[in-house]
Amino acid sequence: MTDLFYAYHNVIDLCLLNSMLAFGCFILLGVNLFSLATGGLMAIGAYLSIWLTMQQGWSFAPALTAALVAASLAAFGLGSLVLRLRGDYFTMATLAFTEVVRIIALNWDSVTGGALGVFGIPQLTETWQLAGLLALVIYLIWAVRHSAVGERMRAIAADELAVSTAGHDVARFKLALFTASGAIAGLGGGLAAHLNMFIAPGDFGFLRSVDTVIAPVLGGVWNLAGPVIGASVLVVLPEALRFSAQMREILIGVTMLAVVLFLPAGLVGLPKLSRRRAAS
Amino acid sequence: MLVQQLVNGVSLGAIYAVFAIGFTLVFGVMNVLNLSQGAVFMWGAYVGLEVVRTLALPLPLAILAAATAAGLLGVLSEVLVFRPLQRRGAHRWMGMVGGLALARILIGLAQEIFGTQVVRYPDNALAGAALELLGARLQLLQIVAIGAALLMVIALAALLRYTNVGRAIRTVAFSENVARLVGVPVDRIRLMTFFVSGALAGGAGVLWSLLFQSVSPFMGDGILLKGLTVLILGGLGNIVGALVGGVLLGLVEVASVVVVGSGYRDAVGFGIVLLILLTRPTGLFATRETTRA
Amino acid sequence: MTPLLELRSVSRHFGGVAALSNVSFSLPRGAVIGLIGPNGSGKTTLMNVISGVDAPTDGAILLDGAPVQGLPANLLARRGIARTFQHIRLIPDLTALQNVTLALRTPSAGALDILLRLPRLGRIERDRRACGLKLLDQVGAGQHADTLAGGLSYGDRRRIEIARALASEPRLLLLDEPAAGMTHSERTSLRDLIAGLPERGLTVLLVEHDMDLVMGVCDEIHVLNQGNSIASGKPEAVRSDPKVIEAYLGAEDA
Ligand SMILES: Nc1ncnc2c1ncn2[C@@H]1O[C@H](COP(=O)(O)OP(=O)(O)OP(=O)(O)O)[C@@H](O)[C@H]1O
Ligand SMILES: [Mg+2]
Repeated sequence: MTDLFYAYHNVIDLCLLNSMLAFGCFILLGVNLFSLATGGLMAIGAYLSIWLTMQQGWSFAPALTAALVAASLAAFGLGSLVLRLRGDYFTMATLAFTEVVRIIALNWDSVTGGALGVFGIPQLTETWQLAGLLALVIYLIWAVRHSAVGERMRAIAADELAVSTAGHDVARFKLALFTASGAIAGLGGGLAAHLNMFIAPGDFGFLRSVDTVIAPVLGGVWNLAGPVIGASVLVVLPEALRFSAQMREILIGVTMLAVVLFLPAGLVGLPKLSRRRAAS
Repeated sequence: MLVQQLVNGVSLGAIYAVFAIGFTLVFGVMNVLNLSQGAVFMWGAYVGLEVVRTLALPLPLAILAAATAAGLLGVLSEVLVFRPLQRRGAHRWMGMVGGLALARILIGLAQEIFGTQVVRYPDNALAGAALELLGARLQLLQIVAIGAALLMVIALAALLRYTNVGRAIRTVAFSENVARLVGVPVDRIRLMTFFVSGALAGGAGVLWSLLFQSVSPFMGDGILLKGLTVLILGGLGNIVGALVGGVLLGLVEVASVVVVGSGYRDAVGFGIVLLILLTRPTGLFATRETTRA
Repeated sequence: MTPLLELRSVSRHFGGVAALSNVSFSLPRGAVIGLIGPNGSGKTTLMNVISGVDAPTDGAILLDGAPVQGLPANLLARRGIARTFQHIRLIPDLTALQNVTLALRTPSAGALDILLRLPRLGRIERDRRACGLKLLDQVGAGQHADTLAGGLSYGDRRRIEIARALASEPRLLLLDEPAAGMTHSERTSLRDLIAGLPERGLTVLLVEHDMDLVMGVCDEIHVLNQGNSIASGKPEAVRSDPKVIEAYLGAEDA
């Protein structure tokens, strides 16, 4: 019974955490930026926060704040360099960043424990903290989207040139968004590190970045429910398919493919679609 | 010692180049980033292995069989993922996610069929053989890998330059609309391009697993990252760039092991990519584009 | 008095194509200046270069006597240059009003107002809405304020684009074929609108193929042909200039 509760509990924590991380990508997808920097930025937040709590004796809240600030600064620096790259070049540069950070982590044994990782991290992350912070992130994004700034965001997604001739600095706007997404990733990294007792550089590589950016695409990139639905599906589906590790990979792949092929608006478009089917 | 390292670098780089050329070909012709390419590479390695092990056929035939099978997987990715998305005018990232989804399916299938443990090609005459050159001891396999890679590149160059299919591919690369206007069967040419691209990935898969003596369902992720690195080094869609970039990456990685130690080997390529993008925002061999209002 | 804008041998090459070569003229304050020429003569390229959408390969552009060539579009917009596009660039999934308020100079809400939804926010956004509505009324598109721009007719979209350009309170307004796709009556009201702009302190550079409109509203006209400035002067003089007639006839023959 406690086992069951434990597993279940863990799934909820992961849904909350990954939903929050997915919002970091969500705000970027909103202006056509497909970023794979999440893993690297998370790693910065994760390693800084455990170093502070485990070796410097900081308490959790200031350590998380430091993680958030450090990853925002890193995102600001990275963004000022790579945001002028276009399309796939931008995506590749962010991927390169993530991989470089991962490999540095792999080699910096004194802080990161190298490939073996860090064990015995205090489990400070609580479900209510994850829920509260996710709610905060959603509220902030909602508030921005329902303001003139949100309109500017949609305009940038549609036509950057029109927005800049209207007198707005599109580059600065994107940099601000990228920095905000770095804050979310850094915070998420700190929370993730204190959730599992154990982290290793492999947790923050290419696959982490990909899974995070896929969540809003699966869930829906225009709807605030999208990242939550997408991230939750990506957490729950593997759990539900526990009976077979191989079938699990295949079925997750098939689900992703089905969404990409048949649900252009993501999973949030599903009810609308079935209603239309029923009506016709 | 130097010759030894040089051959190590070039043989590694040759495989990167073959893989990346397939990658960049699809990009250049159809502006598609096919992220299932790593899984196709892995399947090529397994098919080659099965042919050698169960059918006991010689290596060249194994490479051919692997390339064909992998080419068909490339075709599958077009039919299943990229063509429907293109028809729908879907956003670019849908194609990336679709490719990743297909990769997951292919990896899952490989686990189901071949198991998850690392396997290797059976020992053969090639594996142990070595030859002396300028005082260096070179594995014969490395030479074979370089030679096979060279053959594939030459075959592709000949295909693109001297055949009708090649001309058609180049026309589609220039513009799908122009190609339709002059009567090129664009859909079929796209299929062929995906076939060629998959075949190169599959061939690279066999060479890789011969050289490094390991085949596993997860071997595609690493090469995918290398392929992306080379893609940027050479400029998206630039075949000569991919060839040069691939060999360059192999050499730089081998050199980096000597200079900074093996721990940072995989970071060196990405470090260079970042540097290049920051100084030349469209890659090493790129041409300038302008915007229109 | 220095002219508002001065072009000094401005050139723009695309590879081997000289879209503009050594174009020089100036825009006196409060004038409506016409820019005409056959298709492909470089009119849009010149607008791009002036508005910072593109940069000249050579030459200088002076705004109030200060060089501005090569500055990014958003800075030039802040310094008083606004434009419309030959191929309309409204944001289709924003309403007409949202498209206009996008360019307003009136202070928008600050980060705290937005994130904490302070009462100030409502007031600021009401003010912006009122400003936008006024501009839409001025161009005669007030009734479409809350319609998505993507669903409107050509003429309406052109007018809304002008309203958006006016929203940034420009001193110089660049209009690239504003009458294209408009009905006859729409053209008449467009002419009245343009003719009234100098009174509001604006200078206008008008690219247009509708000669009646150009001749009727412009104080002075410059003619481009294959990137070269071939004639300039009062409308009547330009109309009868043999070089101009030849350029247009030559273009039609080709
Ligand atoms: N981005 C570009 N790249 C290459 N050539 C260009 C570009 N923009 C314009 N040109 C070329 O420059 C020349 C001038 O074009 P431009 O659009 O300025 O003409 P225009 O006078 O506005 O014509 P129209 O009346 O048809 O709008 C043309 O030959 C065009 O092909
Ligand atoms: Mg034009």
